[in-house]
Formats: sequence, C-alpha cells, structure tokens
Amino acid sequence: MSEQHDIAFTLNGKPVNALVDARLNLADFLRQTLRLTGTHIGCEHGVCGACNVMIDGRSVRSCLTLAVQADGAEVETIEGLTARNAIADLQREFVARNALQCGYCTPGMLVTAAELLSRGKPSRTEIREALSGNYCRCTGYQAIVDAIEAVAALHSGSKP
Amino acid sequence: MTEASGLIGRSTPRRDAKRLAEGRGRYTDDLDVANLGHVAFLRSPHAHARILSIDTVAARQAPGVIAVITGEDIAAVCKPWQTRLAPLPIHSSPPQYPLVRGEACWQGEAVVAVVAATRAQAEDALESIMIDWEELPAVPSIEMAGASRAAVVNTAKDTNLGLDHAFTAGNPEQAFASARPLSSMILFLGARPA
Repeated sequence: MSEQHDIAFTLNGKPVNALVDARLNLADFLRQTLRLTGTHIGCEHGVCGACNVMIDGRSVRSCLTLAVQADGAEVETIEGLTARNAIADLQREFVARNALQCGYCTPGMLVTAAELLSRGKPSRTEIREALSGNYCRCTGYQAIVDAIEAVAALHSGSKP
Repeated sequence: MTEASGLIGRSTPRRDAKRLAEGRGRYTDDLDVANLGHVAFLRSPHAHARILSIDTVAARQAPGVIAVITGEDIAAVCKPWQTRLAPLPIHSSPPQYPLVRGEACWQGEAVVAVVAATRAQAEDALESIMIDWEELPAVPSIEMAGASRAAVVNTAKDTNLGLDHAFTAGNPEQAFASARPLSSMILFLGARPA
C-alpha cells in the first residue's frame, strides 16, 4: 500500500504538485492534504453528490476519483468557483430562497447546477433529473429547483 | 394580535446562508485537531449471527494503530441503551450496546472499532481481524417477524413482539361502518423484501 505517484494538475487556477499514495482519493486529498474543506464527504460511494467537484468542466464525484486521476486536469472546487464568481448567480438565488439548511450538500448541488446551466437552459424536469444524484437531507428540493430555474431564466433572458 | 413592524411575519435572510453556500461552513470533520485518531468499524456481514471468537492480535500490531476496541472492551465503560416506556411497562426491548457483544442482530451492526493515525491505516487493520461467526436464522421483514413460530431477531428475547397495545376512543366500528367512501393503504418505507 506504499506505492506513490507524482501528480501535477491545476486546482482553482493554480498549479498543484504532489506526491500521493496511489489509493488516495481526490476528496481526501482536497480535504485532508490541502485543507480545502468546502468539498464534503457524505456516502463515500458515489451516491450522495456532496463531494462533487468540477474536473475539466464536468461535475465529478471526488470520492470515486483517485487523486492520481486528477493528473493533468483542471480541477475546480467550491472555493475556486466562488473566488472567480463563476456561480455567484446560483449562490445568490440559493441564499435568497434559503435553499439550504445545514449547507452540507450545497457545494455539491452548486457544482451539479453549474454544469447543468453550462449546457443551456434546462426545463424543470431536467433540473430535477440532474439533481437526482445529489441528496439533501434537510431542506427538500423545491427551493433548490426554484433557485436553479431562476438562474436558468436569468441567463436566457426570459421568465421561468 | 397586531401586526408588528419587527421581525414577526416577515421573511428574513439567514445570516449564515451565504457562508454555507460558499463552502465555508465548519463541520466536525473539517476540524484539524493535533494528534487526532481516526476510527473505522468492522461491521457484521450477517443479518443475524453469533460471534464464536474475535482475533485482533494482528490488528493491534498493524502500522499506525492506536486502539482496537471490541464490544466487551466498551461494555466495561459504557452502559447499554434500553428503551423503556414509562406509561407502558409491558413494552420490552433488548439492551443495545455500542458494539456487538456475542450476537449481531442486523447486517452492518458495528462489531470492532479500530482507531489509527489515519483512516486508511484503520481500514487496513480491520482487514486483519478474524471473526468466527455462527449464522443464526435471519428475519428480513416485519411480516416474518410477526409470524407464528418466527425465529427471534434477538435471542435476548423469546419473542419479536415489543409491545402489544390497543386503544380506542369513541366508537370506531360504528364510525367505519358509516363512513363512505372508505379507503385503506399499507405503506412500506425503503426496500420491501420479496
């Protein structure tokens, strides 16, 4: 279990170089090694979506991704997306509707929503379909769907 | 009641919502405490089984391991939980320990806890623990648990019945007889065994 690899990738716009255990998953690397704790770990087997991060523009389960798989990629976490205002509209609508309670699922929800909105204007059904891989255990999904729908309408210049 | 001009009846923004939506919440697992140990649990692979023996010798010597704790170890410092209903003393519930003592009564019940310097080391050590199980009859549904001559879910009790209690108010037979339309429904939460 001591096999290690050198990896180099871009994280939130900045280069990262590290020597990591082959078995280390990306979520643990982000949270424990880099102390970027905005990425959350819920189920640890790819069901709950709390650990979603963006890799090369697509939402990915960081608990099912090995750190070595990030080699050469562009990785963005909630910290980076926030810092470059990439999801400011979504965050504003989530806050306005209180589409969160404990906030544990929220970074993963926002990553999923950001990827969805990057592909055009989704219908309400498509929003729900996209969120089927993100569990919220306190708020319920109504306000979350409302928030994403509002941003979709804003981006397309129309009313929902 | 008069409508006040204050907070009552008004939607107000939550002070911490923005922070949480930016991933800046601080949850227990986010805290970085010096000399923190990490725990992993060996869980019962069986729905119902008796433990004949547990061998933790190799786990105790595995790299990074701080402690290996069995049901007997923790029972010495922690009393079991036992549900009791003060108004219904006939309710009966077996004692529940933090870790299995002798008999696992559900698949996934925690049996051994390993604390190590890292989570990965704790999980490695779990793999070296040897448990000799004797499988007991499993009771996978509420209907089977309630059937006559059903196997017991927990051998600490001689029946699966926790409480047999009926109460009425008014005259339900007459109310049902005169109610139209009448509908009934049985709801199952989660997976229902075939």
